[in-house]
Amino acid sequence: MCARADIEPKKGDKKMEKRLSSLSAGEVGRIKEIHDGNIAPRLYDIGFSPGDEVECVMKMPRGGMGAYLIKKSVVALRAADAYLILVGEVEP
Amino acid sequence: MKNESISVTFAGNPNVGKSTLFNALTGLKQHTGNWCGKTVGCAEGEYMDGERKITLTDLPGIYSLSSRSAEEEAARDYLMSHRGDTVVYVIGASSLERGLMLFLGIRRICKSIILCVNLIDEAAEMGIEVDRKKLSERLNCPVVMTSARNGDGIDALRCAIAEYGERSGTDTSAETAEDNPAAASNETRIEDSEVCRSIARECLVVSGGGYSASKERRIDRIVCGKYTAYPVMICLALVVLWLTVYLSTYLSEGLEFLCGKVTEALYYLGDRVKMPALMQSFVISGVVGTVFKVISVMLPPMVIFFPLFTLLEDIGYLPRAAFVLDRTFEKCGVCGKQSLTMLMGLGCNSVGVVGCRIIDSPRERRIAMITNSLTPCNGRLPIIIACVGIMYSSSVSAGLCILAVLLIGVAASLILSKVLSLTLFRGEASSYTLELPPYRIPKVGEVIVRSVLDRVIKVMGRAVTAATPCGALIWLTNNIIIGESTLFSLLAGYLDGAGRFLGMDGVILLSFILAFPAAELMLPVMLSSGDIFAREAMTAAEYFNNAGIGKAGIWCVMLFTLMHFPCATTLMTIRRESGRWGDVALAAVLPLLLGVVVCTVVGTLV
Repeated sequence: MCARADIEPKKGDKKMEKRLSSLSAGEVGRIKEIHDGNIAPRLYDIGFSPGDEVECVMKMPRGGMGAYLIKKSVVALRAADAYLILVGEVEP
Repeated sequence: MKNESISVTFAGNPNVGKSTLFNALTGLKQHTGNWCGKTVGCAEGEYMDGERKITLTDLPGIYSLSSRSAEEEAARDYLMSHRGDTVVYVIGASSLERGLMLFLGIRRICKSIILCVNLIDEAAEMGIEVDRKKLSERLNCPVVMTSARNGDGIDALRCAIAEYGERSGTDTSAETAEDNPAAASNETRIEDSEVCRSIARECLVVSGGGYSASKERRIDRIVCGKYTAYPVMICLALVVLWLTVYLSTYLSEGLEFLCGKVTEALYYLGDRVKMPALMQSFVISGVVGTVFKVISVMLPPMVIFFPLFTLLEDIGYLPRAAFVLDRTFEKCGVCGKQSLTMLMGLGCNSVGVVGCRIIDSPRERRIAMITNSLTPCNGRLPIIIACVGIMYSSSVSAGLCILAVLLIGVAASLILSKVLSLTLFRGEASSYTLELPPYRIPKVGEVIVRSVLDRVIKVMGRAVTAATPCGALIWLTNNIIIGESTLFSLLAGYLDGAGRFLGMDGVILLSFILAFPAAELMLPVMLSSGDIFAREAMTAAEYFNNAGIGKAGIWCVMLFTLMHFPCATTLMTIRRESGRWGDVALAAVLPLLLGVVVCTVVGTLV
């Protein structure tokens, strides 16, 4: 597991970086980057890749899994894994 | 080379209907289901195309060739050693873009690929259409459109295989293919995904909203909703259980009647060939009688439970259950898929243990196997139901009590999982991805045939092999007479102290032990005090009354049923699946330990 501290966004940074895990149900984002981690290759394989639009479809309460619509399939991820994915705003 | 055979390999992502396609081509009934990772080994089949034999191999569904899981490794090794074969790469029309990633990976190994776009009916419903010509041009390979469920396009696929497979046999260019496709870096992945995106943009005609506008979203909101998810799950579980119990009583009675007739016929036959009476009793009552008893108790619930389970699987509910429950399981150091193997365990623990293959992390898989027997299987459920029936007469309170016992089982598995993951099986919480497939309408007839064929028959076969020696053993304990009493009552006498300590008695404890090969024998052994072949057996209520066992004692029987050593078949399955005797020992000892502690507490305190 990678240390969480060094990828934590700096406070006061104007462009606050958003994590996929912070999207709540119904929110949409565009993937910017996928941080390295054990699961990163698997995330690429299952369809997450930079530039893709991703929507959080469902979110289980209390830190449970989130379900994300990616490339027209719904894939569920644990919060810790979704945290590795950086998302940005979707340009209109 | 007209008469030569052609070998074809089926590859693709999980849950795109590869196995259904494979079955449509070969007629072989391989188990398919609407969740990921159903095909674990490679299946083989063949069909004749005119004079030629076409041999098909169905690889497990994978997302990449990077060998992070056993399936990926198996698939990769197979492809590497069969580079000359034609590959039929199956892709779901609605998940085309993602599927192309693996397509590019496989093309680095194998040169001769036919792309088969499956599930076009499902995609059409979602408003997605695929431009076949453009796709074929863009990828420079033949493209066939199919809908395996309806049988559309199967003939076209056959033609493509026949035509293309012939040319590929001598293709030597495959030798020059990349040698280590596993080493694909994240950069290659990003490049590939850009290629896939542009292909998908060119070749897909999207008119509807896909998932976003579909009914699925609304169904999911209920099935996985904050407040509705658990009620839905419990209701489904109860409906499945209730149907199983209710319908199987009738089937059981019918089977018992039939078995009785066969036994009579066997006795008649025995008399005719002048078989000695003792021999007759041993073979017909002892061995055959026990086998019949096991069949008539075990077969009916299986015939009903497994089709229902397969139905839930085909609809697409099961991965959603894992999704909802994952957080709870994560807190216990294991993964949500364990809930599915536990549910399978309700039908039969040995099937549940085999089902643990769906869990990726070896550590979590072993925990799931060891704790599986804490869900009462169809063999043990009747004991619990009989006990509950004595205490509660109204069906509502009886139902609630059964639910309570099941929840105790679930709690026990979770606690044991937590303890194991903190002690013997320490490790990181695994990362895993879980695909939630679209809901699909199952084909009921097929479901019944399939699940009866591939689960019930297999399990029955194993149960009968276990019941045969068990029957001989039970017969012997009843017919070996030492001094004044039979071996059974002697042994029961020895165990009485231990039994009383656990809130039960010696006969009950001995019944549990004798039913080790097949748990469904426990109740008949107990009720007839060993002589399960006697015509007149007591009812459970009468037995407990005579033995002076009160409410607390009955609870002890139920709890011990829930938590003791799993049956021999399950233990053998664990041995086969995990390859470690240590896991078998843990699976046998830990639930027993738990049961002994709980029963001692209940037996002495209450």
